[in-house]
Amino acid sequence: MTRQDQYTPQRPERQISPPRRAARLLARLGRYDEEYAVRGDLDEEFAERFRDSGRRRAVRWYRKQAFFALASYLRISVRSGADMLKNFVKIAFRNMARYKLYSLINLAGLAVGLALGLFVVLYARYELSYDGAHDRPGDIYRVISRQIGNVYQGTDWWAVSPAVLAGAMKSEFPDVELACRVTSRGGVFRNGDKLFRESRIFFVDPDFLKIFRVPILDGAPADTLREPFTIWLTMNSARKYFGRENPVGKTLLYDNRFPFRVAGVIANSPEPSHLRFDFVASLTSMPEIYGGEFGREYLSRTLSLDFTTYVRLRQGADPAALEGQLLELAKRYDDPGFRQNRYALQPLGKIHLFSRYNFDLAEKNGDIRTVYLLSAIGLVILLVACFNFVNLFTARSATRAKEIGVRKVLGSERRGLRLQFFSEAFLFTGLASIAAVLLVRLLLPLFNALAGTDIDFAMLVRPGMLLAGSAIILCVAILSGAYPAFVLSSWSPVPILKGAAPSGGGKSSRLRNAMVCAQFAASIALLASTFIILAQMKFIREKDLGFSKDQIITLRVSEPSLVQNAEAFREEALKNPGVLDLTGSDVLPSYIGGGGPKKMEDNRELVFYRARGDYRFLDVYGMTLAQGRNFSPEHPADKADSVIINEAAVRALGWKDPIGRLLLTDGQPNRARVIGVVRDFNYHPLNLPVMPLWIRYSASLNRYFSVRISSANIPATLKHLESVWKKLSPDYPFEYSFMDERIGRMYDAERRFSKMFVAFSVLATFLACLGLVGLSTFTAERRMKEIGIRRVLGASVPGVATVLARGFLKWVAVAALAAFPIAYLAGNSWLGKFSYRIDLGWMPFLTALGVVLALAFVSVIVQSWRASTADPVRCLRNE
Amino acid sequence: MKDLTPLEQMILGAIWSLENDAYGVSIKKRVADLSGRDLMYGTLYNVLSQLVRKELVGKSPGDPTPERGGRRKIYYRLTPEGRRAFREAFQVQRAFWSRLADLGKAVER
Repeated sequence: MTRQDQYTPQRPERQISPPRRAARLLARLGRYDEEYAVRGDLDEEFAERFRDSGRRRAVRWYRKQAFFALASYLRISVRSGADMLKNFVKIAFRNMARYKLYSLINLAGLAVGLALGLFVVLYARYELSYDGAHDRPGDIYRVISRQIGNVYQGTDWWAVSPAVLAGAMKSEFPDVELACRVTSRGGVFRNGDKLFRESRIFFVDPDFLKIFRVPILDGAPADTLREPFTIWLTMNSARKYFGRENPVGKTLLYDNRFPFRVAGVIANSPEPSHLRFDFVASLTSMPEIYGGEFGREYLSRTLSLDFTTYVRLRQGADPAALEGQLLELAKRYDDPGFRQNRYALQPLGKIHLFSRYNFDLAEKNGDIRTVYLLSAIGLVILLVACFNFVNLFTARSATRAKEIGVRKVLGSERRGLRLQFFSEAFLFTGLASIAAVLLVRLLLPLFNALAGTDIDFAMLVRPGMLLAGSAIILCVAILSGAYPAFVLSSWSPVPILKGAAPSGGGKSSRLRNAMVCAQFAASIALLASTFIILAQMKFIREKDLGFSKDQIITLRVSEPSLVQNAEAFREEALKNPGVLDLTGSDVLPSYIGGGGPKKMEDNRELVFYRARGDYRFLDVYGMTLAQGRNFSPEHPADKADSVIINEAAVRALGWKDPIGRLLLTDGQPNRARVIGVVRDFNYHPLNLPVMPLWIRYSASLNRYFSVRISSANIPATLKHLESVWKKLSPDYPFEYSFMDERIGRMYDAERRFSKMFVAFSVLATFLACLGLVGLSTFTAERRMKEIGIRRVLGASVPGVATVLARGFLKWVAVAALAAFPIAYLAGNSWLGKFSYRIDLGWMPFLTALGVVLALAFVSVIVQSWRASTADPVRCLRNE
Repeated sequence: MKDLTPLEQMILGAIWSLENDAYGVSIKKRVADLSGRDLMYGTLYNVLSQLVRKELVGKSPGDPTPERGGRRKIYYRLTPEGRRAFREAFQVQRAFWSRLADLGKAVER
């Protein structure tokens, strides 16, 4: 204001000119400005107002007008944009109908890729959502311990902790709100004639139901778990034992001896969770169940491997500080084992994917690496599908050069063309994603069976998922629309309309070829890895474990008289010719456990795994001795102090001549004299090496019977065994399993993984081939004239087809070069998990290459053949 | 045909009355003179674009003129269709008002 009153030099043009920023804004509006002469009108009236009412008012007026012009611009452009879109959609659908094969390939490929992407996201979410359903899951921790030196199955970290820990933590640390111990124990439950063996029975402290907020459906408050012999049934087990009756207040007989009072019914164990239980019983029942001194001390022992401890911390408590206090607490106990151990708090959310600890309550934990790997593969396949889409979309748009030319001549701008390609890309991806969601809905049960998950379709309809899904779709649409939108719209219309081939060669075909190459690299790498995995799985199935696993039936023995003595059962069983032999043992050779390190004769500490069996144990399982002899009734001393060790033990001890030497020194009630060396057999899964083992003689600890049967008429043999069982062990259900199946189940995770991997790589290859079919159709079409000329000049049909195919096959070869190292590294690192593994030869790689080459050749040849058998006259007539 | 809004009628009227000199500024001024309403240019363009879409009004660029900083004017004319629509609207209104008056309910000022 002051400046205006002062003297200013005469610069009329500048003075009358409207405010610059507003004018620049209007200038930006481009076509709108031109179409309505906005700036012309505004300037004209501005000049008038400037004269009449001065600069300030005119400027304010101009700004206001400019602002409203902007609003009107937006309205008008949205309206005309909608018109344009309508036209684009119409054209897109016409194109789709015209090029049916293209469109189908394009849509199907993208839909399959997207569906797979969705599956992978669902799978990852499912795996990551473990144990998230509890109340305040972030405050729940599991106490894990490291028993230094006690390496068991490859780790000295244990998921179990001493019995006294939970109580001490709760009473001494104010940050610990709730604490409970859990131990899982199998057994037989009986209600009247309903008799079942159960494995998912949790014996717990009362806080268990509070920490995991298990919903109580019926019955007394959770505190009843303080009293011995109370039990809560899940909905499923209540139905199983009591049918429609109300079980509350009734009794359930455990192991035929201990009546448990049913305190109430709880919801089935929450899924997905690492805790899976069918019964929750009071831990205070344990002393009486075990009985004797062991039972009395059971709940106050400092060193035990029975209890998993869970705590819930006060909100905002620092787990790291608590871990420190925990070490201090441990030092106060006398037990050296307790004191030497390290303790840590593992967050509940990490248990499923991040633990490889001994004695985990979970039957089978997941592995974060599997989640990562499958996500990565899913992403690669999604990318392959996108590449395909982009490729086909580009290729097809090139055949639409004439449409582009006509549109341009009729005054369409690049912006409009860009919009057209983008909206077409969006239309396609939109349709494909609808198809993808339908596919997911359809295939979800199959996927669940394959991945061993329990994913609900409703998981897909969560805000996060919807957001992620639309982000993926948006990315794909932009990615695939970008190339045609920016490159094709730049073509000059004149040569196109004159009939010259569009300049789509050069750069864009190189890009296309690079994408084809990447696709094939992905599918070759996946296929090669698949062949490696399959070879290893075959190896696992067929490897000689050192004992025979076929035609052996195992029975879990609980009847005390049979545990004490197998002879009666054996005699009865052998009456059927199908039963060849029978042995009783306390473990099965498929899985042998051990106890902490023991001091050897030479004062070294060694971890031994231990088995006990009767005279026939080695024979039934076909184990062979490298040295010495088997247990024999002729040597009465065998019942006292003889042991058979394995070759791994001999190696670990470094003994030249083990026979007759004493194994243990201190504190052993009966020292162990080595009488034989059994050849190594794999009593752990093949990812673990064979560790030192000793076998002692025992005929009165028969937790299992192993029955060797003949392959003839197995049902009759089973029937016979059952009738013997009914006679001699009437209080326990007859349950048997085949040894080979039992071993097979140990590799469930690997088997699932390999199946998923196979499915994924088949899909990737399928997608790559789809892309190739589309692309080769396009090439053949583009080279119609060349083919015509070749044919007229006397080229044969196969000759021409080969010419067309050669271009693609070259790229497959290049892809193989890129894929082999990746597959090699990936395969090698996966095989690294196994102590017993195949050697990586060339076979998986060459097979993968062969498969891909053959498929590529077929998909190219089919299209090329059609092109080259076309009548050359028709191709050339247009000239 | 869809009814014209009062604003559309006013603008059609302004263009009609301006004959060959109807462009942004003059239309806006004529509307102000006739109705006392000072339109925003943005509003004016919105309505004009609508009228053009309905093919009631045609537009043609004029030559650049110096008083507008060398920018051209865009002239608007009524199409025959527009003329008819305007006349119809006028007749409908006149009939409406006179019938209202016949009922003895003439709207006094």
